[in-house]
Amino acid sequence: MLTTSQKHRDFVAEPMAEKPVTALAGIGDVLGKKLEELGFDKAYVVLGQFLVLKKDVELFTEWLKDICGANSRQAASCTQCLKEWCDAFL
Amino acid sequence: MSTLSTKSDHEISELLDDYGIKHGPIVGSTRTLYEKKLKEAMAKGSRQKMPSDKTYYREEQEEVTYVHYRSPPRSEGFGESSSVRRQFTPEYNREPDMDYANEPSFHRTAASYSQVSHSKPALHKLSRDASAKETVPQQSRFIPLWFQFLVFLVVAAFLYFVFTNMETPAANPFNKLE
Repeated sequence: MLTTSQKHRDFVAEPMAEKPVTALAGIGDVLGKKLEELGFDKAYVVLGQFLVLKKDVELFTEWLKDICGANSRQAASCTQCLKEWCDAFL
Repeated sequence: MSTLSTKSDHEISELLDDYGIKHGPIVGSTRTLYEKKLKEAMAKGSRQKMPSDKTYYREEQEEVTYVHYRSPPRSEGFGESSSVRRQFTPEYNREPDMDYANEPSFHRTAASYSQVSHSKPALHKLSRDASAKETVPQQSRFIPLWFQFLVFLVVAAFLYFVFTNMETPAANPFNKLE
């Protein structure tokens, strides 16, 4: 198992409520801004996309890379973060 | 097929199913992604059929290797199979040849070993066979490669052991104490 970042652990520890999209692991200021411009201003909107893609890790990773130019590592972090959140709370 | 963007959501969904792509609902935010995936799948479309043929080919290959183990005149069975799958004959020729080349050469070295008393060259041949075996590209095998290699080493070690313990013809086995 990959070691998770503090950001990942913080996100997965509790319901995301109104957390901004930059609270997601792998999503920093640059990517966060791009996502916000596209309308994904809150973490739950990105969650919505993840769910619409039927929680498919590959599809969501690909989508994230296409939509905001995330690299493989960032996209994988975000996907893993959302997946674990769903496993815990959904 | 050329303009995916003009197709309805339902049509996109059906196309994705045709290509075996797992997908969710086609909504505004997912549309672009699925169109992109369909474009990639269509580009690979001509190659899509090949793997299924290849699995059939692999089955045949297994069949033929089974025959290899049984009968030395494999050219007969080889000719029959090649007539069925004419397209893949070039590849087909290569792989069983390589597989087969390893087995009889080993048998031949065993035969030459029994005839010649100084069979150190045979050992060199064995090591060369081992290296030749490793250069064959990794494919799905009937018996795993590591196992073949292991069996080969065991038999080689056994033969070497027998060789080193062989007595020279000149030696008199009946050594009497004087």
